[in-house]
Amino acid sequence: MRGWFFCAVLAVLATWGAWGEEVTLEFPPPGTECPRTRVTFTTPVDMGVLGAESISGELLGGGDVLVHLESEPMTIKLERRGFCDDLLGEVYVQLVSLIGPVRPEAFLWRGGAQEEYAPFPAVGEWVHLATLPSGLREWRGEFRFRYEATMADPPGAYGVRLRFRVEYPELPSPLRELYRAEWEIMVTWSLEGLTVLLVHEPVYLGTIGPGIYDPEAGFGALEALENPVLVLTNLTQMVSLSVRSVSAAFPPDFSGGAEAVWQDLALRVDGGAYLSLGEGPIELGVLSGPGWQRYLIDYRYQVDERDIPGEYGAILEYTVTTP
Amino acid sequence: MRIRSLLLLAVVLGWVSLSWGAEQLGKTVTLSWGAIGWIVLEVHEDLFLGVVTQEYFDPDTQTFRPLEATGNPIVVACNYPQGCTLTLQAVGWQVPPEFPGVVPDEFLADLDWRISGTPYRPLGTGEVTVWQADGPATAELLLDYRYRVDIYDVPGQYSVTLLYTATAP
Repeated sequence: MRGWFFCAVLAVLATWGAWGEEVTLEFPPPGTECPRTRVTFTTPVDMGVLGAESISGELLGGGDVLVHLESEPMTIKLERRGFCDDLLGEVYVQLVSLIGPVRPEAFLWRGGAQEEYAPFPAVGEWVHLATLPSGLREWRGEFRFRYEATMADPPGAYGVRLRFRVEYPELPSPLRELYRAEWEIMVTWSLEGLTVLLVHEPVYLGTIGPGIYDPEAGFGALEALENPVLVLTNLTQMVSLSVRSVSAAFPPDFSGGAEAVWQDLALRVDGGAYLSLGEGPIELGVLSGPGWQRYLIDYRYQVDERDIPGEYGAILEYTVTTP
Repeated sequence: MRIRSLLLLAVVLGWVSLSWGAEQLGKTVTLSWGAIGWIVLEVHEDLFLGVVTQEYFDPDTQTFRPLEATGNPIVVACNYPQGCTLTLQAVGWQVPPEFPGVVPDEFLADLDWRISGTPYRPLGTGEVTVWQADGPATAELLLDYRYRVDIYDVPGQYSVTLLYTATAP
């Protein structure tokens, strides 16, 4: 039996040059007695490259940062030939080995009897996929794979080897091993070195009206609270986030010009002290390695009597720097 | 233009940014806000100047001491580039039926006002300018009122209703 398996592995390896091609194998080789199992599959399954575009758009919300790659469906077709389709067959799968810094708990799969994504229980442990009832001549199983990455996963090439097995438990023990079919596929993917900056949507601070002035307390302020800015990276270097003023818009008769706007416009991060944008770039935080940080930015515009009727605007630039 | 609201609309454009793989990433975000033209006017509460008794009369000089209420606060603020103006006008009055003078002219002629520290001015029936600014401004004014008592102020209840108006051109 081992001879067939190694042949199957060689056949699989031979397909590497033809990336992701369909492979068909027969167990045992043609000419032998029943049962004969013919299997068709694709290997390797390439999940692609995890880059910034793999990161979903919910990151500015309150949830955790999850980044995942998902494969296209991979179909395994089993055909039973000769007079052996009246035998009961069992199909299994096993995680054989990890390529690169794969975290096995983050590699998920579904297919066969397993409808939801789940990790393999352990490397080397067989998982039952399907039972081929007697009389069934053809079986198709569709499989999908997913890798749930974290920012702690370093950039590089990743992969796993999976082994499939079909055996006929009704056969006597020596024949059962002889006619057992085993083959392997590879699932591969890679992670880019990435740094991502996500900034909230434009903010409207409000409208200045008579309510902004209290004869006893003086002028109030326009505020917009908890605007999220997200920085994430899988690089090992320190990453710093800063913000600076770029340009200001104001009514033509506004006295003081842009400088007055920046002096009255301030922001703070995560409930800290307000810092005026008129004082130059503001350092908001540092990521000291792989990971992510969501900053909640509060904006505050201090109103005074110079704020004449009209429309005002300010463009800020957030910058992530990797020294 | 009297106090009124102007509604400004701001256009907010959705914007999210994404980038990677560089030593420096920069993303801009727009903050915007608007201002309508506004005027705030806060005037002190109603005043009771007092009750005239014989103690207000000085037999030696044959004169009366006036009723007076000083340091009454008025706050006016506006954000109009052209500034704003605060005016005062008597719009209502009450005197006893036996008041011998011509009402309201001779009654109002005895009522003076001033911003604290400036000379008193008679109120009269016309609209008078109390304060004005030629640009956005806030002002906390202290107003003094004085009623010059004389022998014709017969017993009874006297009152006058004043209208302060803040306007922008």
